[in-house]
Amino acid sequence: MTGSVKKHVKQAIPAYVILIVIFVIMSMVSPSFRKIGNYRNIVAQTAVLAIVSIAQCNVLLIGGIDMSVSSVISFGTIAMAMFSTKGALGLAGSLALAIGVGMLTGLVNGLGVVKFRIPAMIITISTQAFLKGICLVLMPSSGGKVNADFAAFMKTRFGVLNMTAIFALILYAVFFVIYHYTRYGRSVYAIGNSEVCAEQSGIATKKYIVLTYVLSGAIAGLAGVALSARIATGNPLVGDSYAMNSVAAAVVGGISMNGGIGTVLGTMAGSVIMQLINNVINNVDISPYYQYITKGMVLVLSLMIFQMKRRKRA
Amino acid sequence: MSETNVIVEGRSLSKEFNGNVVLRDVSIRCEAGKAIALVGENGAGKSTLMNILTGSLTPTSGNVLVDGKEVHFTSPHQSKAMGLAFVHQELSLMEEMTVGENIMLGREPRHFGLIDSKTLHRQAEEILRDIGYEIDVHAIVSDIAPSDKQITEIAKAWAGKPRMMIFDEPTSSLNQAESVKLFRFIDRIKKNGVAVIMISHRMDDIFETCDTAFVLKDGEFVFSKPVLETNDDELISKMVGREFKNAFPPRNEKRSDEIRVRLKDVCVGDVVRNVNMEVPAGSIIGVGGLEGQGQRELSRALFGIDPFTSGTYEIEGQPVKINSPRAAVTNGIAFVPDDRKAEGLVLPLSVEENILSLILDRVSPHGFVNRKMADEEVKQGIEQLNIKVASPMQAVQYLSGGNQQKIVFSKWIKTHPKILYLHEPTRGVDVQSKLEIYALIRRLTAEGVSVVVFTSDILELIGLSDEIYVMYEGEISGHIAGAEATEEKIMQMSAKSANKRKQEGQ
Repeated sequence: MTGSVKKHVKQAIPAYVILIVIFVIMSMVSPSFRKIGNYRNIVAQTAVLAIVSIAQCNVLLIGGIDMSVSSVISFGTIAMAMFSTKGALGLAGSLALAIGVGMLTGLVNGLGVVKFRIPAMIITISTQAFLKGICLVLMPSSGGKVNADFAAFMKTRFGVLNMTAIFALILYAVFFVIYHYTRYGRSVYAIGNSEVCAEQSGIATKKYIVLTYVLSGAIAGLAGVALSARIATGNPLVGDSYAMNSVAAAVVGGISMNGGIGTVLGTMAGSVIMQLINNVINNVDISPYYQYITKGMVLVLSLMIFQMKRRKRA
Repeated sequence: MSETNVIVEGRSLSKEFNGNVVLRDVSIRCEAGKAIALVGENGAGKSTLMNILTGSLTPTSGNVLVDGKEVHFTSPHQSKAMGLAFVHQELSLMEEMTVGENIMLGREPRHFGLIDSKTLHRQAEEILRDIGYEIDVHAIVSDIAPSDKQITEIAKAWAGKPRMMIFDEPTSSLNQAESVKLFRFIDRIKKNGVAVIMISHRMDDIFETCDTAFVLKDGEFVFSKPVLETNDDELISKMVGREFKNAFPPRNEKRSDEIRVRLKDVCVGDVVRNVNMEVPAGSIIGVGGLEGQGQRELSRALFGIDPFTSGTYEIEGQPVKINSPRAAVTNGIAFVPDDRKAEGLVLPLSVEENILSLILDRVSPHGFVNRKMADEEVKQGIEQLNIKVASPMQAVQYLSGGNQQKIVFSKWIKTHPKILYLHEPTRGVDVQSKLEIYALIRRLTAEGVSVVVFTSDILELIGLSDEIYVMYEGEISGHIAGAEATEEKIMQMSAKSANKRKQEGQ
């Protein structure tokens, strides 16, 4: 490992340390935590968040943010619930629909940012609202049925892992290579560092920004498909928590909100940490509403630490 | 070889910004294997000309030709593709990437589509060696010294194998040994047929490397001569020498004994170093020099935006700690920033809201704005500064630069300051408003206000100031009475002191 990869990977170390500490402490104090079933559970629960967080990591790296992933995920489950039981063609069609709508949403986000200079937060919250409306029109409340064979396949176990988790791991490996060993990845970091400098260095910044949002939408669509296998139905609101949680996962994993710093490897640890917070709270029998308080605190603290480090450097 | 091997040519280039002509009918020919020294004062149009040649700006009129064919660049990477490289003074490096990755950005060597980091860094090392330097190519840019960043920037430009290289003040962050290496590199690429343009204020650089000197003044071409047939005194005299108009009100007859502000060895990081200055009551002190020599940082520190890191700051004999603009205002300080659109005004708000923004407490005796008091203050402000507005409710963003600047002044004068810091007080302001602003500043000093003017306009510096300090690389390089100052003397303090000190030091 040479060059800036080493520096970016270093950004991920604190997340892994925190992750291990939580794991060790919980395994020691809580008998119900250290059951193999619980580990399996954590993995299964984390897989979807881990996939969306890749999408979020992409856009954060170019200095943007994507709040529309939540509606793209909800739409993914609805697409699966409406068509995936209608034979092989239905399954393929619903997959394509989930991913396609994700990409389309990403395209609108990307063009909004690049062509109309709309702040990423605003345009992605707007597309989030729009798409959520579509979801609610199509399926006002949870319903439909997801192809059972597909769901069973995604839940196939390999030790503590399941198929969805393996799928997530493969995605992480692919994106690690993309980000650190391709020109596209280099350009993403360059844009995140400074869009002006990247442009002056002859990088087609606009093209890459749009591409990154489209990619983010596609991955969020995939996450929706993965989630539908878990919940077996379509649900217009099921994706809601993922927008904030994926931002938190990326930031806790060392991705800078200002772009250009961090690695997708850290995001992986970050998403496990965010999921563990849920699991720990369930295990120690506290009201689930404390999940929000804890997650909120974790996010606020990580952001503060990040900004402090930045200021010191400047 | 034919006698004219012109790579890039600009024909009758002009550029206007909002009716303000910054470049007028300038033609330049850059021949293969020749180096042109582009010289002129701040604001003479050097950067504008270079930005037009490389596509960052489009000319209002005139043409750019590459290899004799007309081109219409709309972005810098089109000119880059045709082999024109611009080594910027404000660096364009990625702070979080390694030196090697920066040099090879956009031309990374690949192996089955994946970047080969080892080869990349080896190639970057070769490019650096080719231009005569050795830097650790694996170092992260944010960790390296400014001189190494400058060298990385040069290597990055050279990696594209350009046919023309433009250097903007390349030696300003290099020491003598590094500069000599750069000159050798420039000599070598000239032999290989690369055209070079160098913008520099260091006369040594120019005589060392360039073939022709090309002088701009106030956006117009004034003079071009082979460097062998000229000398630095001639160049300086061509750069300056504008006529003094009767623009400036008479100076104060005598210096007050009361020192309003005293700076003792103040520093801001290493950008402002050990500055000593005295500002008498009722005087105008001018601070000049080339752009980017620490004036901006000093002015911001005086107003508490980025406070001093060491030294003492005294007001009326008492040491003060001004850690925020609020503290500055409490101490009777006002500050007119150089960027009025970003820092001086709230553009979408009305004339009235802007003028009243600092005295809301005064016009709101019971917590609510008193209409009558507010109207009176605004009316008085508009009349005092002769601001041309249709109505006080007009949004300031649609006013001219001159009127906008007067509103900034009005807003600050209303705080009844004892000390007024001005940064580029007449930038982008029409002539009539300029004269009014000069008269206003002088009038304020008669009421006992002390003024410090930071300006890169030499005429303004000399015409307005009772005393002048010149900054160079964060230090005061000269101090002269306004009445004795001439453009030549100021230019020499700004540019030549550097050479002198460099020779003494080594």
